[in-house]
Amino acid sequence: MTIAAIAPRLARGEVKSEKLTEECLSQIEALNPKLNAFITVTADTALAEARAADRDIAGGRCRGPLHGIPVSLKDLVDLKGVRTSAGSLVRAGHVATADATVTARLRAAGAVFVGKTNLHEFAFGTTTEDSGFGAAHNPIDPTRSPGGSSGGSAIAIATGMSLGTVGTDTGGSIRIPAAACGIVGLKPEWGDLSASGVVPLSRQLDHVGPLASCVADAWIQYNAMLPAERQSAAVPAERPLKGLRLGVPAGYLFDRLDADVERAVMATIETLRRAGAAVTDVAIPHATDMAAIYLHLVLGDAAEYHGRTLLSRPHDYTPNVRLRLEMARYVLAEDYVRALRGKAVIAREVDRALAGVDALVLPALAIPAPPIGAATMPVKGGPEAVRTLMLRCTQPFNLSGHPAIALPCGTTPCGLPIGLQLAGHKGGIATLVQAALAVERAIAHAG
Amino acid sequence: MTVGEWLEWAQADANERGLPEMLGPLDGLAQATERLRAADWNDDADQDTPGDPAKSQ
Repeated sequence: MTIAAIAPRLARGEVKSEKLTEECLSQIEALNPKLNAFITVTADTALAEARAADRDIAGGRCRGPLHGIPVSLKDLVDLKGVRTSAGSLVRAGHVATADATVTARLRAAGAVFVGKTNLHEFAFGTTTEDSGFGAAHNPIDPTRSPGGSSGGSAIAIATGMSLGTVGTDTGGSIRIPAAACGIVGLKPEWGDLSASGVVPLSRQLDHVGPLASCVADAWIQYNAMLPAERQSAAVPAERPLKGLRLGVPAGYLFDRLDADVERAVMATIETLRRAGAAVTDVAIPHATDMAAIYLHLVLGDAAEYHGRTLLSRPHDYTPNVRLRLEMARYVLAEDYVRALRGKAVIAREVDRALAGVDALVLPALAIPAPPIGAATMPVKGGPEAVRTLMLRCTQPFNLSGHPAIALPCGTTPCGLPIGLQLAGHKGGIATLVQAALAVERAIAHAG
Repeated sequence: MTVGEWLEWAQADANERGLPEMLGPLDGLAQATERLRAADWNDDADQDTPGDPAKSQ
């Protein structure tokens, strides 16, 4: 069920928000004990909001495609009157006194909030294993990770626990779980959506954005989270693939892929080429330095945010996240500044790679969802650390700030989802979404 | 401070604080720092940082 399909029926009164919300709450009740996608479920207020939406719509006061739609929020995003745990016992007593800016905009659009989703503690990880509220599990294979850090949000969409959801992405935390769970994740350009009222990991790398069942649903949510004067009335029209110029950043970003991921991504690129897209190789010369740049920035920023609570409540962190935060405190200022300069180099190189094309096309995630607890995974060239592999294809666009979207492009022989990623020009998210709509259709047609 | 000197200091400090499990991760961070310091944009510290707004005005 997609927002794009259900919204017109809600607006005509053919479907009631209360019924939709009850269905989502039933899914949560049935599946959450096994998948651990939600930290807090707001059933009573959600049902009240849904009934109010039904009354407004029946009275001719429909506010748009999100009116009456059940959505969830990653538990880093403030929802007034509800705990924002950030997936950590460090914040177990916290209750938000106001909505985050994006929450307030979704509320103004008539969204119904069904709850707060599980995440890797403080968004500082890619698997949603290290949460103060227990590990989340992939809905396709519960022995595997749903990806992270927005793992609970991805599970919610993949299983119909909510029809929309808001995540955050510092190194890939929207796109990684989207790829691992077989859904769509949109990371807007840095600063495009407000991060006010969202617990930070690294303010210069954090992005707020939607996860969704399809590209159109991602746009509908993204659009509703913009300031009113920047919102548009409709989903952008799909762009024809014929004439679409796609750049393949060959080299580092394709070097260490799982064999099934490589096969599916290359087959998808070939499908797009046959459909008329012009595909060329492009270069990001310092891609090999990205992991080192990213690590120093995210560690330095996290050390600043967590300095006081690491001293006062160290044992309330999960052991792995605490260890990483303790390590963060050893980053030297001179190396942090070197990383800042490297970040600017990467941004310039991504701009150059995009100069002659409409979008870059690459994997969203180098591997399928890893088994929970796995330290390494086999890839071309030998086994590599899970954390490194999870971030490899997504972190370039956190460093550069360009908009990027992950969408499903196939499965492994055992049914695990594989994700494709498109990255677009700064200031060009609508164009990126137009291309993604066409790519989504081509993939569905080819499948 | 060289990366080697930094690592020696950091690991000694981690041991003193009763966090011996940090020795491995610190070694990984040291490798990343070596890579960062070897990057060619460090070759000329006077070079403009691309995208620096102060330089584009």
